[in-house]
Amino acid sequence: MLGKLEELVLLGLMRAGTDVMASDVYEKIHDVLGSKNTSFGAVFTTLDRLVDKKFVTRKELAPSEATKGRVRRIYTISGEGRLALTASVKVTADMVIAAGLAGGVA
Amino acid sequence: MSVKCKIIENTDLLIKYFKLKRINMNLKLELIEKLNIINTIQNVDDFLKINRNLHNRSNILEIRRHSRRVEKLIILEHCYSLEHKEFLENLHSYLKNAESNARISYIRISLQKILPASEVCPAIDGLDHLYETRWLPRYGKKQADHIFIWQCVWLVLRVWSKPAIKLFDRVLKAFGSRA
Repeated sequence: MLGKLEELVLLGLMRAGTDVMASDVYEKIHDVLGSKNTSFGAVFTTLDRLVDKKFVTRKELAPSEATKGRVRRIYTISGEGRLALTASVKVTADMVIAAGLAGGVA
Repeated sequence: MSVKCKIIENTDLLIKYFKLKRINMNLKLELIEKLNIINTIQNVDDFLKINRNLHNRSNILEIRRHSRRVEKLIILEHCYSLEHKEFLENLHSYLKNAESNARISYIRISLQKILPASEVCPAIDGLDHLYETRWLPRYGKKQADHIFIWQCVWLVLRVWSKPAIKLFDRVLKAFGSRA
């Protein structure tokens, strides 16, 4: 079962596309949430947690001039991640309907 | 406290002087213009050449660190083409920028020491990317710096929260089993 932040990060990752940086995922989440603060640290650590759960794959790019000589991490959602996200969103949707909030949400 | 006196010949050397000073958070410098005088130590030939005389100004600037005078700079500018006011404005903006950049660099260095080695490069890379592409163009330098610092604080707390909870749990278990 995914946590709320994990769900948000996976959705952000899906919006951002494949092979994206943690900062791109943070931007996508922040664009939707607006003024509600989500820290970059939260996204960064959640992505690593999702990598441990194998919901996200991580690649490390070698240092280059573009990265100012630093190692760059890029992330892509995995098949397992997509399945987990779909299941998690479905459970939330079912619970919303069961609680009679569907009309309010819609 | 004795005040050092330093003579600097031109603008380039002055900028170089401040670069060597390595302005950082611990060394907050304040530049105060003391006097703007026409050089009186000139030979007769120079004195007669009015145009040259106008450019032979020297500026005396005082450097203060935490409101205490620490150094006096005498800047002999024989050939600068900029107006005096413009020159000083440039100098002040340079110092302000240097101090602000130094603050961010100081935070980056602190992050390198605080975060686990494997997390440092990607974390700073991500924060730098956000700083340059998002915060700086949207909010301006001052607020972008502020956001950068707070995001760093949250990042450190996030990264270390899990090991800290584990450690706390172990300590609790150790003392609990003894009791």
